[in-house]
Amino acid sequence: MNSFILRNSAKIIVPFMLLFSVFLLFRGHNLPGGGFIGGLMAGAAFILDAFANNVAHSLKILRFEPVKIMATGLLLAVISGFLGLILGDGFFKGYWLNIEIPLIPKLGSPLLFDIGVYALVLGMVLKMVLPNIEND
Amino acid sequence: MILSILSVFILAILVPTLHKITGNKIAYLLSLAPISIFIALFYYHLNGTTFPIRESWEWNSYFNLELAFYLDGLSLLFGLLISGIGFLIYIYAGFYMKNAKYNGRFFMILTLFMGAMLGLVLADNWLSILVFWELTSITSFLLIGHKNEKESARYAAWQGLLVTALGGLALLVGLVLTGIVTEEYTISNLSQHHELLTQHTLYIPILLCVAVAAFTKSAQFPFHFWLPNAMAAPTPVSAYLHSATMVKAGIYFFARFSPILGGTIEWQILLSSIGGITMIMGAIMAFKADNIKKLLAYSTISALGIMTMAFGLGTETAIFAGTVYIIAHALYKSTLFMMAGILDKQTGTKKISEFPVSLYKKLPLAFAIVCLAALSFAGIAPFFGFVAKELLLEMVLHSPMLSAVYVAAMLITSVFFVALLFVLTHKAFFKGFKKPALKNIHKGIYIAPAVTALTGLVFGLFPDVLSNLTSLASSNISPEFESKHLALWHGFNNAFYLSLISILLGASIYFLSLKVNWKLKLGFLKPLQPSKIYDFLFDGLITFGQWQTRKIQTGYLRNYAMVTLLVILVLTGFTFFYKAGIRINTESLDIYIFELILGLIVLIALGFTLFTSSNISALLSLSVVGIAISIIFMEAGAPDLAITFFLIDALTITIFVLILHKLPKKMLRKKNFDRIRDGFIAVGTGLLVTLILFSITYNPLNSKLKEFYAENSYSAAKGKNMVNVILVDFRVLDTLGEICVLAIAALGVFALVNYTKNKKLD
Amino acid sequence: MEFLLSILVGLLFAAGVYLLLHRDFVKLVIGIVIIGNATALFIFVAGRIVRQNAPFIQENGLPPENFADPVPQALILTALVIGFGIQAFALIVFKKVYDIPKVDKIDDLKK
Repeated sequence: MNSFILRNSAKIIVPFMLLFSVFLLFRGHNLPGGGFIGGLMAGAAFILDAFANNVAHSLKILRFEPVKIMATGLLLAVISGFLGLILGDGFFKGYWLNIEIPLIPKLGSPLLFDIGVYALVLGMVLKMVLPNIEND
Repeated sequence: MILSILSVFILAILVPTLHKITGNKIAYLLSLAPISIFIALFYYHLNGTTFPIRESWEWNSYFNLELAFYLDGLSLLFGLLISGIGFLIYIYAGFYMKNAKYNGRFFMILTLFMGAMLGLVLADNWLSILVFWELTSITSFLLIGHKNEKESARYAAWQGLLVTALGGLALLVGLVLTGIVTEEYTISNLSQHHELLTQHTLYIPILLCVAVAAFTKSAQFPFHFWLPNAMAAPTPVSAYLHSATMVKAGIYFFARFSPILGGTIEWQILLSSIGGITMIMGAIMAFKADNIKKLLAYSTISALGIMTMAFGLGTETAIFAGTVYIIAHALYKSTLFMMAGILDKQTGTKKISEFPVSLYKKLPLAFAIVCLAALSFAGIAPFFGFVAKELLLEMVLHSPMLSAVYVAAMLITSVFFVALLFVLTHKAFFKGFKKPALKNIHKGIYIAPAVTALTGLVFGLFPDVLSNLTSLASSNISPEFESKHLALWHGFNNAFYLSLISILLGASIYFLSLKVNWKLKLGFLKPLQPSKIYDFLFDGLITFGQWQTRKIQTGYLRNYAMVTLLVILVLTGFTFFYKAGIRINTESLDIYIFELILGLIVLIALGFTLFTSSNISALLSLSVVGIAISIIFMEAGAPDLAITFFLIDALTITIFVLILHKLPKKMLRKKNFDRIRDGFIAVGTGLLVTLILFSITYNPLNSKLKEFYAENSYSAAKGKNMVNVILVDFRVLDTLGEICVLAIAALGVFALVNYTKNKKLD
Repeated sequence: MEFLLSILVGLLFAAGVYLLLHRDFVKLVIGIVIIGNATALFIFVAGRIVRQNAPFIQENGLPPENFADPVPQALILTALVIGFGIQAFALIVFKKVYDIPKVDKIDDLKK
């Protein structure tokens, strides 16, 4: 697809979508959102970019291979579980830091898990959609 | 007892290793096991130990499972036979199987078989009986198929296994039914329930099951056909299987179950008629056979028929005669089989018609031993066979009913046995057809058959030495039995005259058959032969299996889906209407106009998806459905769901559109018949789902989970979005599993994509 | 509202099943998608519908009155994402199937 309008509007929309996806991820603990939704949104952003430019471009701005993103996500999720095991409590015990930073949500192991979900869903969506896009 | 049987099995496991160390000497080493068991049993016997002895090791009392062994006169008799003949078989096999291939395997299985056989006759719990029963089936399968490079051996092994395993199944049913009726799982206690069992409505099924089991094992008509084929086994195995073990297991069962199930008219008719048919048929077939091993096999079938008939008649004389005959048969049959193996080794043929000229001169020792055994076989004085035969004739003369028929049957059988005596001695050793070309073998091979043959003679001359043992065994078969004495000479009675007649007739039949080449024209019966029926059933089973697989595994996804759906539909529908019925909650009827419009949009979009012939429009209307559903989620207080659903709908449609141009343009249509059928299934499913939902929502949901999460999600998990808190905190392990599934699906796609890429590179 | 949604779920199931039994690839996958959606809605309706109030704790630390049940929502959320994985996987398998020479209907795969 080679459309001038799409390419230029993507330049603006894609960053906003990515930002919005992170926003959805972080606010998920208190309001609608979370890792699944954020990951899907981020995936949609990269797919839009792949339509507007090409797959190679979106892989470039992604910087990492989707499989590696997936693996990292899974790793983060598992680490958040083992935290409790290492510290002597149960598997997947939730821990929270008692510091408040503006714009950033409350930090804790559930958030780490949610970030893992985000990364994994993002990687999965890209892995499934990108190979089907053929830029002529 | 437990230890000695266990040690046999442990020994069997060690055989392959021992074989590597000792080589050909393994057989003599192993023979120590049966001989020590023999001596131990014999010691019990001589020492006047009070029988029965019982040892048990409880495993699970709730299920009545224990490993129990029970030694009484009957099991003592069988145990002595198994271990005694077993010892000689090992000695014989040591010479016979010298330097043969796979000896380690052979002796291991033979030892296992012996252990299983001993276990079977000693076991006292229904489960251990069954296990040992099946063990003998399996080990004999392996022994018959020992020469596995031959197709005939594999076929024979299969046949033996299938027939005896069928019996095993029957036995299982029989024992379970007995257990249900009596609530008794210890065989030795079962005879107390004799009256209950024989008067119970389940008596006939139990009797049939136990009888079928024993018939298959003891090769009774119509299950006899596996035994002649089992000749494919190495000769030591045939000798062991036919004389003292495998086939005697069925006889042991009749003996063991006589006090439990016997004494009724059904028992008598079933056993004595089948036994009678088998003994006559076996004797005639043996006479027709040319292959010496086949001849002996058929004569075994006949002899087993005699024993079955004896235990079927169940009079005191009959039981005593049967018991004595078990010993006589074991002795002469093992001798004859071992001799058949020796003749085969030396002349290179099993066919009597191909034996060399005047063999008696070349192999005088063999001739002498065969004569000793064959005379016992035909029941000629002063051999032990004569003692048994006198008793058998006496039994039929005093049988409780139809005496004349039994006498006639017994006479026919004895006549043919006498004729077989001449075949085995005169025809084999005097007639001769070829130039002699004999191979030399070690003379030690004659030891074992000579021992059994001479034992037959000694027992014939001094039969009283066995009086104790046989009386003891008989008293275990029939509780009223009073001990009897065995004697060679009973005086000039009817039995003796019958015996004389049979000798005369037998001799004349044999010499007549040499002159006249008469052939029975029985070709028309061929399709009715049990072996043909077996083949037919066997092939039929395979054909049926293939047909069934073709029918069920059609390879069409929609057929599988349809069957699955129909099953769900019928089962759920039945349960639903039977248990719940149609209920509608009238409070749920409050519908806003806007919701109605949403519903209509979904309806129209669905209809479009269903009936459009364009892929693109189907997809677009699908996305309309998706958007409508996400609005419903939003409406009903589930914003998380609404967003997720919306995104996923968009992504699915994206992938769909992306690959759409790769798929064929032409859309396949349903056939008219399929359309109606699928329409019915679809409407049925939809209707059922709707009704189930009506029924579910009829009563308000009383969910404690909801309150739990409302209370704890903020205080314990510091999150205000309960859905998210459940996902990443309360039920986080589930979510971990789910993202793993996602990762696997993505890896699957990854693998699929790369697969083609590599192919293109090639 | 449960009444209306129950009928809707029934309709979705009927349509999904009809398409699932189809000979055509595209229709088959659409059938799978619709059955997935229908199942999600089924669970949702079975968990009872509460209009408007989402399961969020309010600023005062208490849940709103008469809020929607979060349990079926959590169930459905993961089910939807997994459903997406399955659908995408199915689509790519089908696409690969057409790469095989001489295959242009599902039925050809049988050969």
